[in-house]
Amino acid sequence: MNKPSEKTLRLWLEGELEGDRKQEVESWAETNPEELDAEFKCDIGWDALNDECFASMPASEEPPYPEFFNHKILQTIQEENENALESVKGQELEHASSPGLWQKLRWMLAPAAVAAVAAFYAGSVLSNSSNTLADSKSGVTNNSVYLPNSGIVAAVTESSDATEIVLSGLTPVSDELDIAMSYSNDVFPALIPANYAERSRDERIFNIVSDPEPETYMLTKSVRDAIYYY
Amino acid sequence: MRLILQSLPCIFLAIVCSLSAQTSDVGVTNDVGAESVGELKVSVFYGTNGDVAQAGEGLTALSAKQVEHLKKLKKIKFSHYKVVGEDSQQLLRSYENWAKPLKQSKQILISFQPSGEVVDRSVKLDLEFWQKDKKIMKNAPVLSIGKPLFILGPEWRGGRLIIAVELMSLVGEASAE
Repeated sequence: MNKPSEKTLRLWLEGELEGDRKQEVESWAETNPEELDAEFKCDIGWDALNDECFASMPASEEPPYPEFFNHKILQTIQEENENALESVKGQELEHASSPGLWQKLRWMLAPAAVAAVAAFYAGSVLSNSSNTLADSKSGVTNNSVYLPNSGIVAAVTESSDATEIVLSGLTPVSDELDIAMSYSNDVFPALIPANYAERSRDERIFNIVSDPEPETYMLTKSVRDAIYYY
Repeated sequence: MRLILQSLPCIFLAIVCSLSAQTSDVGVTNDVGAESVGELKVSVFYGTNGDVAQAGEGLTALSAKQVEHLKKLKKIKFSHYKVVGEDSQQLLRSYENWAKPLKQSKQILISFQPSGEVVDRSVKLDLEFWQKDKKIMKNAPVLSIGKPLFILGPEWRGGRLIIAVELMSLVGEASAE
């Protein structure tokens, strides 16, 4: 092939040639590099061009988003560390799943100790209950006191002769009430229902629960004294 | 023979009817739960370290046995005692019963019923102490003859009311008195 025209060479250098014309120019440039350099006055050569290109590049270049870049690096390092820890734990679990004889015994010691304490406690309770049963033959036992109202306290004392329950916090009975047993129909016939004694026990109990204030039958001590005086 | 076979259903029906009638009669007339298994006595004492005359008239002196019981108490101790009231009621086998020791007042009420069989001269009770319309205390004592239960109750006229619950007798056993 003859030397291409200057216009064709410039089009080839600019990459605008196609097809057969491009192949012809490329084959000519490969076989005649000296003429190509002379044509374009490019006497530095390809190696010099390569060195010039590297020289024009900076030795180090900051990433476009340094914070994001560093964050991704740290995240990757953390993930690698976590994976390493998980693998270590997995190895430890594998070791734990197959403990030795002493480790097996050590784990059995805790339930055995609990069982021993429970047995001791049960024994003491049974011992106490047997004493309670013995006492119950001659008295009152099993004194669990239930107090539905707040503010009331009970203290239980057990002895061989009696059981005492001391209640504190009770509402005092009014001093105005005469609660003694000696009142009878003979003393205050008009104040006590005439058929009180004849009423059946069930009826009296019903009155106890249903009558809001049976004490209204009675007079206070001062009024009673006044009646006597009169 | 055929006549006998024909009459067999009628005979069977008559037998069933008579048996059911007998059982219903037993249910009406013999309520085992209403039977008495013993007698319970509830007493109310007035105890004071001051002047016993503050309690007013109508209180009576204690019996020797009551004095003996009160002297043995460890926590409930007063210089003077008087009897305010007392009530004796039957201990029913499976029904609740009430004792009202203060005849003219519902300040002290005791409800009780057995919660088990009489075993070895003892019976376990469901016992409640009521003050007027308010339930104060519930207890489950095992009572036996000769060992009463004492409850230190409310204040009244400078002293305290003491409730004594005593099993007086059990059916088939000797009485406490």
